[in-house]
Amino acid sequence: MFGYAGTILRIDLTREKVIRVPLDKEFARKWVGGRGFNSAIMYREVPPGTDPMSPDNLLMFGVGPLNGTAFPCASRFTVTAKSPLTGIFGDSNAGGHFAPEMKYAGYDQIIISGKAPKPCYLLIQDEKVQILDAAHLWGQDIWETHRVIREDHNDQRIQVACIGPAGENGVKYAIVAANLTRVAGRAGMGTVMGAKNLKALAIRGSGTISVADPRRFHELAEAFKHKVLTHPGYERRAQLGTTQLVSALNNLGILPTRHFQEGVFEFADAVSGEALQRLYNVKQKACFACPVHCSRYYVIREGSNAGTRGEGPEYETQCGFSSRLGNSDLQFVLKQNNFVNKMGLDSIETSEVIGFAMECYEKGILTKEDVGGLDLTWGNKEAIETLMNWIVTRSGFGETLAHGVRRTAKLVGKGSEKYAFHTKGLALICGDPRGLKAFGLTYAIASRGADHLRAEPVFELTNDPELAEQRWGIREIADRLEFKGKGVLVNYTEEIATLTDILTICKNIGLSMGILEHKMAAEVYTATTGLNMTIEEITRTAQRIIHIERCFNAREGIRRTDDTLPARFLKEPLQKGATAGHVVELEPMLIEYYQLRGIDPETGIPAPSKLRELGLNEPARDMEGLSTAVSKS
Amino acid sequence: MKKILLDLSKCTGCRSCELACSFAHEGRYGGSISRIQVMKLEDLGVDVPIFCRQCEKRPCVPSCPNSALTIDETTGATLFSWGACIGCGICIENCPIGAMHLHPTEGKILVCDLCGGNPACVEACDTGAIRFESLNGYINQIRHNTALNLAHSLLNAWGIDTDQNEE
Repeated sequence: MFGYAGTILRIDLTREKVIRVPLDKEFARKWVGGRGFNSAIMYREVPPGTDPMSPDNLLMFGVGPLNGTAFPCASRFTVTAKSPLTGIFGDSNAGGHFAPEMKYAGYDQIIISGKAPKPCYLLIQDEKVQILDAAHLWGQDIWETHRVIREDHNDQRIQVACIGPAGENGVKYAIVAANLTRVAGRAGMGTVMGAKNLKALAIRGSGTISVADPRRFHELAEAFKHKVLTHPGYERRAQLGTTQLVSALNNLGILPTRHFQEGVFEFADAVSGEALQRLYNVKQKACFACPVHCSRYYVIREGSNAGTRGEGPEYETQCGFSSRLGNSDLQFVLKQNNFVNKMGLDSIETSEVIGFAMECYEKGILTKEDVGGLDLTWGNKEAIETLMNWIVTRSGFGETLAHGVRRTAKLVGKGSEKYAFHTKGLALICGDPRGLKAFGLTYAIASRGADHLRAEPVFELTNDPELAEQRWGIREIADRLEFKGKGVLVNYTEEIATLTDILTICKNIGLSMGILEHKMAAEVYTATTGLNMTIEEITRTAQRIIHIERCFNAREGIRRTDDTLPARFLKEPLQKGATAGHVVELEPMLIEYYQLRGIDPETGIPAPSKLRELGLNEPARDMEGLSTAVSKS
Repeated sequence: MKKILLDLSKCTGCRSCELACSFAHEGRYGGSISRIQVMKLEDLGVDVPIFCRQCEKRPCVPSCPNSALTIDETTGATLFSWGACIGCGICIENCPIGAMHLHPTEGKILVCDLCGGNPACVEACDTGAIRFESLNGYINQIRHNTALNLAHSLLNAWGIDTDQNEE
């Protein structure tokens, strides 16, 4: 096959069985790759009610037709499983160099089922697949695990995706990490891996990828790259990456500060991307085949933290361990970035549970005695550090926090639930939706919970009403503080986000920089695979994936009322800064979105007629069953 | 003669050079068939592309038992004869920098041929981490910069502002 590697690898850890299944052309075309492949299998093979921590849950690694080729910025892989954090659909996506190696080894998807009797890791070298003893790796951090595997097999070019102690210990928001710091961070994919007694996938491939129409493929790759390199935001992205967002969001009054109590942080300059660049960055780093090289390597050269070095941080970690917790020390952020990357914690959920605890402490809901004698005053670095250690080992108050913010609030009780900032059990990212209305809608409707990456509607930050008028006929779409038309915007960008995920292109470039659109997606798919893909069909493909995930969640009992935001964002206006006076007007945006997407606005369940239109006949029948049950009750 | 020169501070580790190399030689993509190999020292944050440096005294060429290796008179590249190479790997053993390896399926060695004088890897490098230049030109540039730096304090003592001369 062109573009694709041509094989799906199934590994049953319970029976120690390995099966190679040829990739079916129709399946490939219907779901394209990456998140698409994984979501399709999730619906088909993970029945409702499956315990995410049980051997019945699947853990999937999906890549797409562009991985391993020279198409710019197509380095991503998606890890998918039912989430132990949220109890619903879960996936997470990372760049680096793991995805191309998986293709070179010959695989488009790896589906892992069952549970190993004792800690193991997978060594995949082309056709040779071994389940090896991981006794010497269990307990090691993520960086050490990379080092030992490569040394054991005397091959520095082995690509590793592994978990740290957090994943082994069942912390509900554990990550899967590749290349030390390229992280599939959300929804507890590392937790599922740990529950399967699987420490790592180590992969090395000697194969190659051919494209169907090299001439056209090159034209498209060059056109894509040209758009990237001439983009007005390129230079800043190529230097600061996502860390430029600290000062940007602070200026907009939406930098989460002291757990979303404020949107302006008085020490934003000190923890900004610009400060990081000036004081600690030494080199740009890139994912596979990416000209943006938005990642950075940092070194602290002097002082008590001298010698601290690592890659990143990305904005979420940077904000999470600074303004979100009231900390103004950038070196502390860099240290915690290394800690979460080594131990294997999702920095977003980690900073949220700590922020939640700090706000509860401030409000008197939690006392010193409740939290093991710690002083949880905003910005107390020693306390934050101690909590993080406790979370990883699930000791003391860390055991309460290790379940994620929704469950933590249930355990704490006393009315603390209103301070647990999540949707569907997944913690909110570092972007206050009160000043990003379309982002607010995105958090509410996203299939994995409160996350921006399902639609990332950055167009609302453009302040370009003419372009909004021209594209959608609604000028307000270009204004972040307006809610009008945001259902239209999210309906559009949700499809682009899905296209980036299935073509495994980085969202920072494909979506956030506005480089990928439906036409380019269809053309590059055709040139790469030789399978004809029209704009209409790739649009239907994106919609198919959005809907199958919603169907999965509906089957688990998720309804309209779950598409919401924490009350603070709906009711309490921000007090200071450029977003003062604003809340999220969620309801009208939701209704607009449901109508365009083909979702029943009463139940939140996809309309069976829409599903049939997308070729999802079985899910359509399933949803009819659910709708009947809903109307009867 | 031009050589591929390397600036480690600029290599982001994206491996576009590997992809360009594999495509230029075989029309498909894959690190295993690339003649330039990026070694990622991940725990140090450094990425190091490894490739043939066209040594003046090339240990690989005389080591070949089948005389499959020659030196291109125009470009100075190490060339190998597809027909004569028996894939014994003796040249690999003799290369002190690890710039050669065996083709994963063909049983022949792979070594940089400078693409006949227009290296595809250099073309693909966006940051200038690898560039194709004459070594003499490079030395001249470096010496000139060094001379300016050394002259700096003397010229200042003369009361001449050297800021405009600084790199």
